[in-house]
Amino acid sequence: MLVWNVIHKSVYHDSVTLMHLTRDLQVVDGVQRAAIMMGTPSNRALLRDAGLLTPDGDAASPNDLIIAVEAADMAAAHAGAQAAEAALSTSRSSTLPCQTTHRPRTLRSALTMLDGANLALISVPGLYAGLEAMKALQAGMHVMLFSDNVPVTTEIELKRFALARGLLMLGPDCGTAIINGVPLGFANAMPRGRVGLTAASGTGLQEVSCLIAAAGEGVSQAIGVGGRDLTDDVGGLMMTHALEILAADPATEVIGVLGKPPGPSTWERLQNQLAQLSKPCVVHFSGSFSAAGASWYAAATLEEAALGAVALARGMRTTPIEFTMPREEIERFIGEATRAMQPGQRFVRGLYAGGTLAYEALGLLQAKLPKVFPGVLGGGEGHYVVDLGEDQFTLGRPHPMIDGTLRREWILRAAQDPMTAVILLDVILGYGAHPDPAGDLLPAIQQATRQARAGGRHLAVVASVCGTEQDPQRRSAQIDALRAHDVIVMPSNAQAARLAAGIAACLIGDG
Amino acid sequence: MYDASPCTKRGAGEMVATGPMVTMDVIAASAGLEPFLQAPPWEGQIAAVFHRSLLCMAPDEHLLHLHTGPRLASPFSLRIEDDFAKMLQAIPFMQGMPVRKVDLTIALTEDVHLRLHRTTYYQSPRHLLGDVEPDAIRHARKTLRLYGRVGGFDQLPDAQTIGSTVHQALAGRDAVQMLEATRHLIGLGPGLTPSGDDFLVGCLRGLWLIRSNAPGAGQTLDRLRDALLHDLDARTTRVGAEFIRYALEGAFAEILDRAALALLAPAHPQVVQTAITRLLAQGETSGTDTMLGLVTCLEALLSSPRREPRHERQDAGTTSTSSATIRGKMHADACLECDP
Repeated sequence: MLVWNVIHKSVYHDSVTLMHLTRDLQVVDGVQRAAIMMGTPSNRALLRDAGLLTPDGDAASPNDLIIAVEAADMAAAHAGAQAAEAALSTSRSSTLPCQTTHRPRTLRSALTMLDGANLALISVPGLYAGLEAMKALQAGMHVMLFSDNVPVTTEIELKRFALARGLLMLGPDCGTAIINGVPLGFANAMPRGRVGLTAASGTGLQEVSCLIAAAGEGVSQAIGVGGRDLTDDVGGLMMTHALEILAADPATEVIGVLGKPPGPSTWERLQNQLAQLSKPCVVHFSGSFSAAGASWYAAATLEEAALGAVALARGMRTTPIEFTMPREEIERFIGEATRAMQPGQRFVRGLYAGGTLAYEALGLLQAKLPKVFPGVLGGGEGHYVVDLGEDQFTLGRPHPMIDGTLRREWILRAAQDPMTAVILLDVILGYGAHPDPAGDLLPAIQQATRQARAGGRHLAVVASVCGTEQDPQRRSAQIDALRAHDVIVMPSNAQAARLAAGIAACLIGDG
Repeated sequence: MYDASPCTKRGAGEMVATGPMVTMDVIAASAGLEPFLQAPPWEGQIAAVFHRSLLCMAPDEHLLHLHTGPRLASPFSLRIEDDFAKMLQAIPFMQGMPVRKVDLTIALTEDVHLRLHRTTYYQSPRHLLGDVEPDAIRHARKTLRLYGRVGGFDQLPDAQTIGSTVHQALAGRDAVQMLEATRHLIGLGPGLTPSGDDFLVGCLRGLWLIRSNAPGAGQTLDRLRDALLHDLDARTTRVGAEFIRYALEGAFAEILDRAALALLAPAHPQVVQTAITRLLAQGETSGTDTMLGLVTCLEALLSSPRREPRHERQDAGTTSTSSATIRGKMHADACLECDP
């Protein structure tokens, strides 16, 4: 083995950069071990004890950065050190002045680069987002506003301004849309088809559109309106407009409406509009909200909304079912999962990247099991479903749909808990998501199952994959990778949650 | 407010012109910087450019941490209005660029000025009124376990041993043992502020929080200050040393103070949770490591069998302690805003 130290004299890189760099280095081909640390006496002692310090490193001062690499040969060590240097040289702290960049920094300069553009996707800090969105609307462009933390008064002002000009104002906090076949934000590669969707729920829109694609249909438009649109404050301003657009769109034969539960007066207005639609319609609001109505199909889950839309498009009726797999197979899953579990193993740990999917899983578990908590309010004593995309988890770090680091930590933490029986996960594919989300999570899943096994326990890992075959990550490849490591992959989030509940219910029964 | 034009000229020691004039207010600053910010003109330089903040080095190697956000993130912070974050993305600042303070203005470039006219100065509270709430400490430990980031102090090879030694030293009011453990902590671990430094700062916050009423805490602090200050720069990074230096004098980041104050009775679980999760979001693992130090320290002091009241300071208020709580007094004019 060869140990190589590179010293950067008197540099300051923030901890996040250094930590990510260490992780990146460790996966360079041929690199056995790597560490990046400031050259304090204590750290030099640590590196020395680990056999990672060379005389160069030993001469470093506390303000010098030591990049230590242990590799199989000189070439690998050199490649590792070079990769680290390259990454550090592009980090923010090494930015050179007067660097030129061709990325437009203003809407005006972007428009000069793409004449005729008519939609602006805006993702800037919430404080500035309203201003930028208004600039785009004033320029006659439709807007998809990815940013959150935009005041509700600003949202109302923007939406009213847009409506007066016949423009779309999607968001704020709109993460997913497919407009004229173009996926925007976190969206999936989707065949175009006859179902038009409008949603106040990002991952809900992804799940429904992907299940529609899996059922052999396609999506005409998927219009995200932002998570707050259906509150009584905003009054469904953009959902109303989206419904008008879908009603008038000749390519749309069936309309799907999705979201968090609407405010009472918004729901009343929405019902009137839905009743007047001349096209068949499916409505699903998350949780236990009843969207029953005489002239539309009220779906209880996202999957039911998707299958309902498909059935309506085909002129058929749909009957909700719990599992699309044969009952015997479900019982086999439950039997195999519970057989090797210890008596103390009782609880489901839902660790989610998608907010709507987490909410759906929570509701389905609560329908079947006692003591199911959102987040970790119940501590270890109970089942829980955590939305790791919530602000408190994503402050200063990437969303779990982009980077699985946080989820890997939670998986390992859940596995250490002897009361954990099932780890329930969503794996979300598509543009903007991690290039290999299953691969990103698998090392932690493997380690978790190994840890449990070492403690004489068996851990069931149940997942669903939200994506399509056309997605860059390819859904079937992701499912195969998960199944190769004994993850039970269900066709939808609802079915995954029901299976997890079934396993836990069986354990309660045994207890 | 400004346009992100590329810089137009630059030379050694010269200010850089970056575009139209931008002036922003420094909303708040750490009290330790006040004499220095009110001092005659000086010239320093940018020491580091981070994604969301700047680190400047003024004469005598004083560090200034320039950032936005709702709280001061270090004991040498200048909290600037939110436009500063946007400006950091737009202007290519670099290490070594000169920074000048003239009157009540800090010029980062020829065109980017920070005004100190309306700056309020934040003083870490040293004397605290309220009981350290054992339930809050338990809640903090649980929050740390659930939300804390891994990869920092807890991953160091000797973390458990050092943590236990610190616990024993504090529980036994053994200043010598604490000093010994501290020497192992300084400069240890990953990060610009090594994890051991963060852990130590958390411990020091705990000691300052209750030093008036925990017998021996004040003595331990004095011992640490006397022993550590002289060779800090040889033991850890410049930034880590600065944090420890301030901590030894009782000055901390506002965001840490908020988390510490949330542990005083009556501690509402949601307030504890909010204050702690905000702290945990600092850096990659700095917030977690600091919180770990604070919780370890308070757990040790709460578990101590030696609870004889002992007046260490005349102004310390009540010194009686029970097995369940430790009392302290909060300075009446502690510069704290409303919610933790």
